[in-house]
Amino acid sequence: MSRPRPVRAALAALALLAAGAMFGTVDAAAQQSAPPPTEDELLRQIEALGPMLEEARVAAEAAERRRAMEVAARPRRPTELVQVGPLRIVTLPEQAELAAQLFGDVWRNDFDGVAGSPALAEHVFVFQWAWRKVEPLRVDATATGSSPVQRIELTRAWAKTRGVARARIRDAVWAVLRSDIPEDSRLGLWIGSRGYPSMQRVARLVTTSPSDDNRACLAGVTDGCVAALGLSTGEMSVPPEAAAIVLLEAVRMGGSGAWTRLLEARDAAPLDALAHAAGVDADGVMAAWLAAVLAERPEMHAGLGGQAVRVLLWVLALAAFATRSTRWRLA
Amino acid sequence: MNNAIELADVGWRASKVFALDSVTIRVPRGAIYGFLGPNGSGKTTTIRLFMGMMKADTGAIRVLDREVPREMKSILARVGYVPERPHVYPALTVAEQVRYHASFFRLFDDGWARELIDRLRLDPDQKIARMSKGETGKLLLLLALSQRPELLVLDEPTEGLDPVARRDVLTAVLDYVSETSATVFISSHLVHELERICDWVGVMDGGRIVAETPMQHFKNGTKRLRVAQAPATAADAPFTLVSRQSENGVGSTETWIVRGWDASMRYYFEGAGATLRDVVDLDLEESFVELLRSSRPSTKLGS
Amino acid sequence: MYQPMLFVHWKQVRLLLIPFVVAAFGLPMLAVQGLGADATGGVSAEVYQIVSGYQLWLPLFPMLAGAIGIVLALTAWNWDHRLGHVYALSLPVARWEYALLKMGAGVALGLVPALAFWVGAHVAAASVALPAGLNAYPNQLALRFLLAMIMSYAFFFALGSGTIKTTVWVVSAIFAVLVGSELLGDVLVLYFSGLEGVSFLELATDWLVEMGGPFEVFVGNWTLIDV
Repeated sequence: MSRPRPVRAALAALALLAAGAMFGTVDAAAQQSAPPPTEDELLRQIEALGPMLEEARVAAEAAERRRAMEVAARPRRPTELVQVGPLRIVTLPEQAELAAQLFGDVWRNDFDGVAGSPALAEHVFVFQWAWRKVEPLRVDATATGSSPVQRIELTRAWAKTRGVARARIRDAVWAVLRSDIPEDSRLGLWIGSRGYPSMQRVARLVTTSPSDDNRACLAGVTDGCVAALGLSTGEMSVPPEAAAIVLLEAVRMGGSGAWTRLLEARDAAPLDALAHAAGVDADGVMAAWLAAVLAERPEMHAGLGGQAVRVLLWVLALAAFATRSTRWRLA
Repeated sequence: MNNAIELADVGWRASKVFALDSVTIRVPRGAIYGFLGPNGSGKTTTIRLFMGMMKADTGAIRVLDREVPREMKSILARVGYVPERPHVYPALTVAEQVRYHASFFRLFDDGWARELIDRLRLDPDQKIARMSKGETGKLLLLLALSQRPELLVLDEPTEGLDPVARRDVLTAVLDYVSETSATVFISSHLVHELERICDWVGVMDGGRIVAETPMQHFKNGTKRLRVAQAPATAADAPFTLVSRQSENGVGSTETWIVRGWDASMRYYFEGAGATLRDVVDLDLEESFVELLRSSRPSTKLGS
Repeated sequence: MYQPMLFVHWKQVRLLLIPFVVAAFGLPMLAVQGLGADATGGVSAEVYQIVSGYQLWLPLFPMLAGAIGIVLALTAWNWDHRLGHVYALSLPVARWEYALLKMGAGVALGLVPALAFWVGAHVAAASVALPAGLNAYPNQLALRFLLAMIMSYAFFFALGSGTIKTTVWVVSAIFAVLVGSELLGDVLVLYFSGLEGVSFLELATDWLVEMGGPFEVFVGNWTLIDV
């Protein structure tokens, strides 16, 4: 496995940006000079795309069928079903303990309080962590039924990628949880379809966002937070992924049954749905969200003390190297 | 122990071509020991070995009754060293260099250093990089003497110096020795220079010691003899025959170089049926040349 | 002994050190030029741009620290190398003691630009009217600068303390590890399939700049102004 070198990646990104800018400029210029299309013309263009879209759909289905056939053709390997809270995980027997540990960490740290999710009860997570290329496991239908499957497949076993593994699990669990909320519901429209939020990134962006609502929110004004999160006007001035943090905080505060209450109120105003789930008023939800975000504010120079100790140790080692006897250095 | 420096069967090999072979040197305390040898004979290498800058492969070295290299720190505190090439920091001034040097030696005499600066006509504010070779040589000696050493080691101290600077250096050395009875080890290939000041001489050639003897003995004991009807062999001679050569390549009159000659040894030639025509004293340089010639069986000096 | 050694090192390096001191003092201030609130107290630029715009200057801080360390290390041994170490070997001081004194002299000289950087960072932080939510970290940044400079100095000092042959060996070994590690991986994977996907080069570089390696402090967070 090789990862793209930063220089190469940067040059490629620059080339893409330049190309995009160039084409965008050309295209914009062309569009500016041409008259806007009529409604009939637009309809004709949409109809012309139809066959192409249909072809693409058929090709994707065929590829998925081929893949499924390849998986089915492989010899079946023994698997084990692991249960962590509401999560059902299918994995290799030798990785069962690891899977339980990782999924347990993620569930406790990031989804504490979320119970009663129909999607989680329905889904099965397939976890594989292989040294080399992953051969996807066939899920035993007798144990899991015809459950939809979320696959978490990792191909490099190294100590530091345990964090990567947890991040992937987190994203997968959130994707399943998110599917409990219909996309066209008011709550679904507000929360969007983004991945699990990066708390540190949100904290950073919340702190540096220039909007007046955001500044007011940081100053402790609840209405400011409501407005910043798009819970009143519908326009968010904080990163959209902050919505997921509010939701999870509300569920955490609400304790038992909070997720169910949230789903019941999915078509209500999002703020009301959150308050209903949390069992507190809007001020309480906003305060909890802000506290959670600010608590995750990255410590800019974290670990500097430890680094100082390590530098000192290295200096001592290098000093010992420098002081070794060189009395015979002239010959 | 009476020796300031002792090397016993010291060996060191640099390459297939050059090596020091069983070097044994004894420098009596209080002596001014001249270490002679042609260029490339191993003089500087020998000095570096007993100064602890290089490690001998074989043998034992003691300096001022201390073992080299185990007790080097205490040895170097009592040794003043003037190397073959200047080793002072070029960007410093004379005064700064003196201060730097003084910080390493407990017995460094600042007053004496200032006096030497005046005596050797050095400018304390002059940058070393801008000094002439003679001035740098004098500075090196100043540093060494100001330490008040028991042993002064000088490696070609007057090399490249003008006569005035050379005189200043040697005078300063002799003055110090007369005051303190310090031992001096001075290496040079300038034989005539050492002749005046040294009371011991060691001669090195090709990595070997070929002679080590009191200076007087070295000078006086070597003679050039003109011998008519010279005997075929001199195996039973009471002196050491260093070399013999026919005069003009013909005839029975020969020139003999002998060591350990005494006037009473004339009888030998009478007994051998030869006639001793002439006895000529050789100076140190001629003795040195003849000694080297005799110690190199396959080379001919002066040819 | 230490003071004269410090003086000698200072004499060698002073002409080079002065511009480094000026750079160390001025760089933090250059980096924050044009940032901060306007005269009315409002935010004159996107606050996020304060943070992101400043990021462009960040690589210069570790580079400066590293450069100062290298210069101090090279000048520490420069004269000794040129003079063949004869002077140092003729002094009545153990070699380890001599090397440590020299090393300490270099560290002391390095405190000068480090102090200039600390002052410059404080001046830079004070010159910017930071909006709510942003903080300045002059002390932490100056500490990181000092650590990086000392690390760079110690590494090159140790390298310079040996002979040319030792330096060539060390540099060659590093080069061999970096260049040969990938080749080694390609060969080993033929015999140990479990190594597929494992990059030795990546492991080596990861260790150098993370996980407690010698250059970890250079790739840390060099922000003066951030959340």
